[in-house]
Amino acid sequence: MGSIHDGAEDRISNMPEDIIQHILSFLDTKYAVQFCTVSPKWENIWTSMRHLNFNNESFSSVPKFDKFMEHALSHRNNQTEVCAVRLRFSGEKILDTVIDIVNYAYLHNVQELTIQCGSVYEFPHCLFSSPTLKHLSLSSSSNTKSRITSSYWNMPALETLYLRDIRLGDARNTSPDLFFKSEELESLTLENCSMYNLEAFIVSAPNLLDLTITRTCRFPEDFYVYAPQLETLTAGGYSSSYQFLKLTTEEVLDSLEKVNLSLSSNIQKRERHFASLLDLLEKVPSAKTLILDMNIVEMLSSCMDELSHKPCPFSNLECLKINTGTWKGKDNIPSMPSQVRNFLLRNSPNATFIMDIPPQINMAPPKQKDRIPTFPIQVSNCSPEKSPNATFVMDLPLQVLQKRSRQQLSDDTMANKVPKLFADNEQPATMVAENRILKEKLQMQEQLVATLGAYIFKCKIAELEVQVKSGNPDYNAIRSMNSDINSVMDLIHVSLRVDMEAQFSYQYKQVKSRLYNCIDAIQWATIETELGLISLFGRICFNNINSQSHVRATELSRPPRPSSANVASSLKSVWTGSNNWVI
Amino acid sequence: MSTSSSSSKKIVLKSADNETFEIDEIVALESQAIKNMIEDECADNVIPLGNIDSKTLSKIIEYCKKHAESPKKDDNADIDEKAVEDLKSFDAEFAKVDMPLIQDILMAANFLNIDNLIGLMCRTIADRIKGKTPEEIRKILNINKNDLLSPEQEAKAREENSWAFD
Repeated sequence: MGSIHDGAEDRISNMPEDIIQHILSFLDTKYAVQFCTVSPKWENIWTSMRHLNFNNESFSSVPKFDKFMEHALSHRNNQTEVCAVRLRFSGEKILDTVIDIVNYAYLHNVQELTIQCGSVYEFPHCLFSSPTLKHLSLSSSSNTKSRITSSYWNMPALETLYLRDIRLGDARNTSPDLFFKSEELESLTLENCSMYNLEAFIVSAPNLLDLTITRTCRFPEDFYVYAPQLETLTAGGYSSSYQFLKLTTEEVLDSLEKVNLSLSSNIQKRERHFASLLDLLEKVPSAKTLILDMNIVEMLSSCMDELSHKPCPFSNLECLKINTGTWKGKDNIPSMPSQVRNFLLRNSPNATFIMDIPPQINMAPPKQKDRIPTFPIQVSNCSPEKSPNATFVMDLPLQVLQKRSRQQLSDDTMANKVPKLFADNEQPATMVAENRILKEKLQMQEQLVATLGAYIFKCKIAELEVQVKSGNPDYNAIRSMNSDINSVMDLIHVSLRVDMEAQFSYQYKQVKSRLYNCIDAIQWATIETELGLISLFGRICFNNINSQSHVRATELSRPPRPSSANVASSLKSVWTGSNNWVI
Repeated sequence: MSTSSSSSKKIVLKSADNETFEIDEIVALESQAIKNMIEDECADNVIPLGNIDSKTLSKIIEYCKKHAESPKKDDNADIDEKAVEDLKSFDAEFAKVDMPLIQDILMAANFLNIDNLIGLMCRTIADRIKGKTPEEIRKILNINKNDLLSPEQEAKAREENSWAFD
């Protein structure tokens, strides 16, 4: 290990063999073998490699690949165990190769096996019997899924299993119980696997922690789970024609912490799915985190009357997150009916509620009063008496901002929700409540201010453009632009300000590069001084605000809110201000 | 866990060129070798690292610091994912150095027994020699001329392993 980097030193030749093997383990075995000609020291190093990576794409033809496999396995040091084998094969006629490699690997006590291939039609039975294998990953082609028909597996050491694009079971075996000998299984993932015509799929795994079944077109009639340790359940379907995951358990899964349910297409016959979904939720009462997508919410919304008579399935949710990423309706903001939310959060007074609003929704700056973007009241109205300490978080797109900023509406937001919105809630309309209404409204307004602010900045940039194009910018006008911008910036909540600054400097830079030749460098510099901009490492930043940006970007909780009166007066000034600025 | 606390225990490392580095104990614990020394109570004074120069050592400390500060597995899945992403991009940036330094870091990480760093450096080297000819690999790794195969030897090795040369 030298202290002089003179370029003449040969460090790698002095490295221990296990380091060289570690490096080669990342390479295709073909190149690991070729490495023997790099230096005489490493002539035979590949023969004791414990990682084997075979990929037929490194070969010009399948026979050449087969020849390589045959030689590599026969020349390899037979005494060295195999730790991990990875086989990638594109094309047909792979079954014999799979059998050869599996037999060799299992004979050498392999722990990790990954096979990615096109269709083999059916995986050989020998693949599912190994005393040492801990991690198995099988992927086939999504069009022609390969089958697994073995009725049970003999893999007592198996800890993680990942299956992608696999067809499970067949006409002879409609309720496969694959894992009853795999007592160590901790993680099971079935991705885009076909379970057509299965009466039941049985997962009996006493140590299972994580169960993921995603991109499933059709779930089996019955998904039987015995997993007393299960912590995470993820289920995602993509077809609405079949029922959603129907979980059968002997007891409720009371170790479950996180449940994530999604359905990527909109439901046609929601009512049909409602019952099985409700049934599923009842199986997981201990969940702390619940993540649902909008299609699941829609499904729950389809039978609102029924929902109101059902007991809340959860005993103590800590976080309810509504994922709107897959929401397709572009013109309407997805909303969460209060009945659904009450149903889910009834017993969870301290839960955090998070809802992302997709960025594609057009929240164009208002030109008329009736087009001012508002927030779906369903999102914000929740049952106050039942969730007195809940936190409400909402991700809001500011269309003019390219980055979505997360703003946490903290403190007592949910606790003090507008009682008047709930006719059936008997809340005394005291002065305190009135104040809270005001506060609540102000929080909404704050988002609005940011949206408006962004629009104002856009107008300012347009003004600046006019000034630059004239070839003789009016610095007084630019200076007043600066003070306008700063006063708007002051009104915007600090958590949004960093993004606003970034957006403004980005727009400024665009103008500058587009119109660079309209004025000379000194004029640009003067403009930047008047605007209070500084150039920092090639980035243009706000001189006066930038110094605090780092703190703001990392701050987690919100600083104390300004008093209602202050905010109200500030708002007023923005409104009047914006009237002046709007072109 | 934060490492900025001034009350936390400090460890002093001394490089081959006699530069000293004072670091928080938690950062030093990323190294299994130093951890063993601390547990055996042989780390009271300065730990001399006679085979690691200051340039390499400061890189290694940078790495250990980041990895020690990064939040470990937490209940909050959101934070987890973000932290993992953050660490990934840090690692990618960290590995953007020249080959001699990579090899020095690898040797030192091996000596100090920092598993993740050994893996990162090995992967970086593998990525750089991937798909290259033996001749190019020799150049990239700067293999000593005395350690090269003679043309006859090379021809023989190629012949014997012709099945691997497509």
